[in-house]
Amino acid sequence: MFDTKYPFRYIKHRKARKGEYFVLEHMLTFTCRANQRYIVIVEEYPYEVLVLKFYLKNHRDSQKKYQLLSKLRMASGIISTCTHILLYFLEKKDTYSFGFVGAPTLDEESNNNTKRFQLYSTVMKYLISNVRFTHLEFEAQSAYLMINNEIYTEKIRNQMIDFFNTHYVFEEL
Amino acid sequence: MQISLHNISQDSDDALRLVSAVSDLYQVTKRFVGKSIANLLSILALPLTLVLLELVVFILCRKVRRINLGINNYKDYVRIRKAFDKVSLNMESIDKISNTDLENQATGWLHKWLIKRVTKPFLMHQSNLSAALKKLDEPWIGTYKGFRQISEAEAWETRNKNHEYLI
Repeated sequence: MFDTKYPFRYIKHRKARKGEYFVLEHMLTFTCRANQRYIVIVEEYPYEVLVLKFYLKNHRDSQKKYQLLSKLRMASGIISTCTHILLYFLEKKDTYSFGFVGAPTLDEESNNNTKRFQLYSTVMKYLISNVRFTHLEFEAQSAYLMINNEIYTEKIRNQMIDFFNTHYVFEEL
Repeated sequence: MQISLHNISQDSDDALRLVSAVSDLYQVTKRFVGKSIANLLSILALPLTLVLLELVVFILCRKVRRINLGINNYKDYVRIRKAFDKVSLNMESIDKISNTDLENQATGWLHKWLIKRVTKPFLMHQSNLSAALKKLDEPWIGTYKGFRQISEAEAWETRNKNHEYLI
């Protein structure tokens, strides 16, 4: 089901500005089968954690660009491409860990266990084995963290969770 | 035995008259029927042409649809379209169906679609089809002639056995 992969290309990266908690921000793009362009933002956080976000290029000026649905019905190909983008970064450095947040749709009032989170977490469990990564789910914040087993220790795990709890999850949603 | 010449000549006259009468009747009938058919054709020519044209267009459309989709009727086409909508994980309907249901249903349909699309147009060999089905490794299992739906537990077992993670 998740075999489709659209060719993507790396555009640019930039360093964090004042008030941003990530270290580096990478930008990539790909065009889906419906000839619609998607922008993928990969934020690099301390502890070598990459957080992936994506939105339709047409929605780039909207403040709710992460919440809007494209209605193109091509979710499987798009999610699959995003997973391959994560693998592209993993090829560069094999100690990267990954994370994402399932943003609520416009109909959803709370951030608890959103539709996107349900879908993305299922797909991640399906595509990425727990041999290389430890999968952690945070239903209350609809956040998902995959910690690389090469660097995984209880201490690092707790530090990562603390970092995201204070800076990212609660602030972003 | 004596044969009367008078009788012979009278009989032949009668026969000739009969032949000419039949011939006249034939000519009259032919002319009348021919005219009727011509009249009928002239009246029906336009509608008949239109119906024939419509028929040709209809057959061509069906043919094109068949070539494109490898399926045999419109009902199948609609059902497959619906199944594909599910495969592409429609975010709006995901609430109503659980993930497992969705996946099982969709891949079930995928198998059916595969069978229709791959086997019918190209008469694919059964072993190739089995390989293709194995690749999809979902609840529908078997060959073109007899495939069956397996239980969810068995499906997960098969899937886990054949499933390959990306990393």
